[in-house]
Amino acid sequence: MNNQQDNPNNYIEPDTQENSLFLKITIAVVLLFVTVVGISLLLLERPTISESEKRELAVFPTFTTESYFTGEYFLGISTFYTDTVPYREDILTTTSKLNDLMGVTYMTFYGGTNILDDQDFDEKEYKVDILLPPEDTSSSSDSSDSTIDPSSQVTDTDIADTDNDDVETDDADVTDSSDDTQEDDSEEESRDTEDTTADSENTDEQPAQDTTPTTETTEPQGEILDITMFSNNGIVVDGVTMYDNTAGVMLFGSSNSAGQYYADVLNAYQVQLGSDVQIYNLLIPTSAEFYLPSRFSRYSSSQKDSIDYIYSLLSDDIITIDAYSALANHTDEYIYARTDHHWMQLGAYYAYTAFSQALGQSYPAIEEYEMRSKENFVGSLYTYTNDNRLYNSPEIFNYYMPPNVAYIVNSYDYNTLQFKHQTNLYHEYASGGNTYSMFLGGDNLHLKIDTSIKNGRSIAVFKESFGNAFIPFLVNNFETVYVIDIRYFGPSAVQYIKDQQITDVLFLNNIFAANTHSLIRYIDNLRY
Amino acid sequence: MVFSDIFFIYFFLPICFALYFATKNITARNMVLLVFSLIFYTWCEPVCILLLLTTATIDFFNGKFIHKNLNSKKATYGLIFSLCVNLGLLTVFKYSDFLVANFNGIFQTNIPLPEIALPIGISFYTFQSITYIVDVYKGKVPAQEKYSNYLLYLSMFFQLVAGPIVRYSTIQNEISTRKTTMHMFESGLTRFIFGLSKKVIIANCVGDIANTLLGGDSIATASVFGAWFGVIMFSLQIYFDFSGYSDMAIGMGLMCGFKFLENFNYPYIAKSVTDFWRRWHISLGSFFREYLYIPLGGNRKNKFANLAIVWFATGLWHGASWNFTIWGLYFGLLIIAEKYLFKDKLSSIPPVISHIYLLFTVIISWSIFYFTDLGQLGTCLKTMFGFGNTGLIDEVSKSLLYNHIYLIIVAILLCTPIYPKITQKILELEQRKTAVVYSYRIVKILLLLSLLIISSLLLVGQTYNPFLYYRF
Repeated sequence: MNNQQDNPNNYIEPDTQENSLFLKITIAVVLLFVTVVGISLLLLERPTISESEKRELAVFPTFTTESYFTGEYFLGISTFYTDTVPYREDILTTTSKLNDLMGVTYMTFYGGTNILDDQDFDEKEYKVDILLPPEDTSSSSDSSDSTIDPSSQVTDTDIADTDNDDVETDDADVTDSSDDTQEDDSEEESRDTEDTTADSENTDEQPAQDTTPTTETTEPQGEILDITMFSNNGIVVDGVTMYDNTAGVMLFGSSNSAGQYYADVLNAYQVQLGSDVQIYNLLIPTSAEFYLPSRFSRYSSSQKDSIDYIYSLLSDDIITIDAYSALANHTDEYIYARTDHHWMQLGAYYAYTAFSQALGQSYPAIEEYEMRSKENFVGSLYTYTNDNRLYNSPEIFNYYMPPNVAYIVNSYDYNTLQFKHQTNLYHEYASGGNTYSMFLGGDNLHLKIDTSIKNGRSIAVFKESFGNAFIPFLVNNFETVYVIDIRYFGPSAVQYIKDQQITDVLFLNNIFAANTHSLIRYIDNLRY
Repeated sequence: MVFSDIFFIYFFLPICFALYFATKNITARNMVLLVFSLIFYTWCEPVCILLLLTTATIDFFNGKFIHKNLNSKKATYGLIFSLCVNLGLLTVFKYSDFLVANFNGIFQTNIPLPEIALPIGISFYTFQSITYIVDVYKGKVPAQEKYSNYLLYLSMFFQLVAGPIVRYSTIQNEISTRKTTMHMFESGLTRFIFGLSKKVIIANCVGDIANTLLGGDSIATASVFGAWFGVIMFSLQIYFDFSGYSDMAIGMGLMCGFKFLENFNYPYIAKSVTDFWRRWHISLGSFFREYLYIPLGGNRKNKFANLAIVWFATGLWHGASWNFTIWGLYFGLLIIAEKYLFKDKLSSIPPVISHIYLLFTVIISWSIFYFTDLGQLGTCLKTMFGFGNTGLIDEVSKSLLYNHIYLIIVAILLCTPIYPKITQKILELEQRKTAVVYSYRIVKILLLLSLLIISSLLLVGQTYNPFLYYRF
């Protein structure tokens, strides 16, 4: 062990009187600290739940012979002791600041970074059979509830949930390269409550109606479905700017099999509806396509390619709308939210202009609309990542009131189609993180809009939440607008379109939805 | 229980030390340490503590037997018996799955795997017990008279679960007569807090980076930079993790009056692989040298075969998997090359070049060490040397680098003896009572306190906290 002498750690301090005082002080300070903390840990009240992680903390383990022999009992005690440290929330805030000090801020990924080329799914299950309804809904005539029961919808569709095994509860900068998200159930629950609040506000304002309010307030809003399903690819925050401000961008993973399925479903509608009804398809690109800095492009698939791919598979009888170019021409305008996964209504307006042109109709210039604004909008990308940079750059949320047209909006129960109450296109009380839900008042609604445009044309729009900002523009072009949310519609939509003698059908979907099997299946199921 | 645990630092250890220093005579103090050690191990291994007790009992009585029959055939039988028991238990509890899997592979059989969970620390305490038996047999040390003392030597929680491998000869006197001076306690405390910080602040963090870049299937898509960066982060992790643990063990020992030998001596400043292994996991390297290489005949006969055996064993000791064996033999080959091929050439080339050579070979070795899946190892090496097609650099690794750049710089600096060098320079001024010395004293108190606070805060926030060397 000849190297022992030259190990610098072995340096022994000279034993002198004056340093012994310092040694005593050093020892005393450290021991005092450990004692104080040690006693505080025993005496102070321990938290039982974590607000920020949305979970219950570990509990003191119960002693059983089994837990003793597997070692779980002792492990449980250590875990309990650390997990329920007093002031845990404050400590976590401090550690996240400590972690920030370890380097310079560059950019941060949330969720995984693997591009999803194809989600795991069973080909057969998604095969579109035009002639025969899918087995499980073969008795479509008897009850609408069996086809779309909101609660079963949620569990059915949560693809994200099923492969969400390695959920991260904290905001680790980069998690393991799992495909999915940090979203966990508890987070959903919290959003759930938020949305319920919005709903009850809704009810307050219009007390006239609603014979079945319970179902509406207890079921999750579309927002939740959106975020669990779309965030299949992680979110980039920082290093991303939109309109000279901090932004988050949700990465996109395309799936050719899903695109094929989407096109098959629309073609099936075309066959079922026949030549009496004109079908349009408008696919909406998201902010990742225009604002993701090129150095991240390897983590996000091309939305242009995905849109072109789907359009190329559609029947010639379906008119495709090039909203992509319309949006691409205005990327320096405020057309997408920076802190939310949605677009802004201005973006929806440009997509609408492309649609009007395809209809061969004129449309009001944007200046003709009355623009109103809401401040302090911090949307879903913050809720999802808890990233302070997003929180600290709230957005101004602009929306546009349609000019020169009168309209009446009626709300129907989306399962029974019973009239509920008259409502509005804009629910201006929506605020804060829920501001986007001001359009139509949310997702789980079936609306019919009668306008003063007496041109005999009526349109059914199949949409998810992106469509909400788009719908109000249609009052300038159609006598009647039927709003069908693909996730919330009970009866057969094909039958409904025929019964109502609707002349036009628009499939209005964001590109994530058109690449997500579970969402496409909703559209598929609505055919029966 | 691990050392880097709030429960250990603020509950177990303070109570243990309070009772230890409340008692005055050595027998009572040893009893306190023994009881707490047994509690500590029961905490980790509620069942396999019986295995530890078995080893201790057999070797205690066998040691007395050998000592009584020194220089006779009986002593040799005793030695062989102990070696068989120790190595037998180690084989059964550590390597049975590995052996059966390989047997199945070679002979196309289908014997079910025994699936025995590796008892924590078995690799360490087994070797400790072997040093005792062998040294007694050689007449280097007398047999321990008290069972409780021998059990304490083997089970002492400071070094029980992850080393260093303390030889009985190192502490044979201290176990019955020792005292803690103020200096020892202060340096022990400092060592413990430094070790804790190395583990919690540095190792856990760079370990997360390494796992993000290399873990799971990430290596399949890693860029050239990502693969190198990941492996380098793992190199830092394994050093700070393991040496941090050794620091804590040595520090706690020092606080109780034990002077364990150093286990690490700044291995990454070495200039040859031979030099590296004199600085890396010293207690293991010297164990294999003195209890395997020299008994085999050292460099007097069959030197290549002996070296091959030693490095095969070193590799296998680290884990029951072929990649560890390859890792060991890789070092064996390099050491043979240095000894018989390069000879003096390494010392005559500029130190910068030999240092780069060392870092390169060691970093490659950690990639072998990291991947128990040889296919993934192949992918990693291919990517590192530009035979992959995943690009030169990617944003994830770049962002990880930027987000932790200060920490990484500090970690690299701490791989060199910068801190003890500065300390030494300042303390040599001490006789002159300069202001520098006084400020150093105050800064040190603040440093210790901040490191303890930061480590504790991070421990609360970190759910990921296992010691790497638990595997071995």
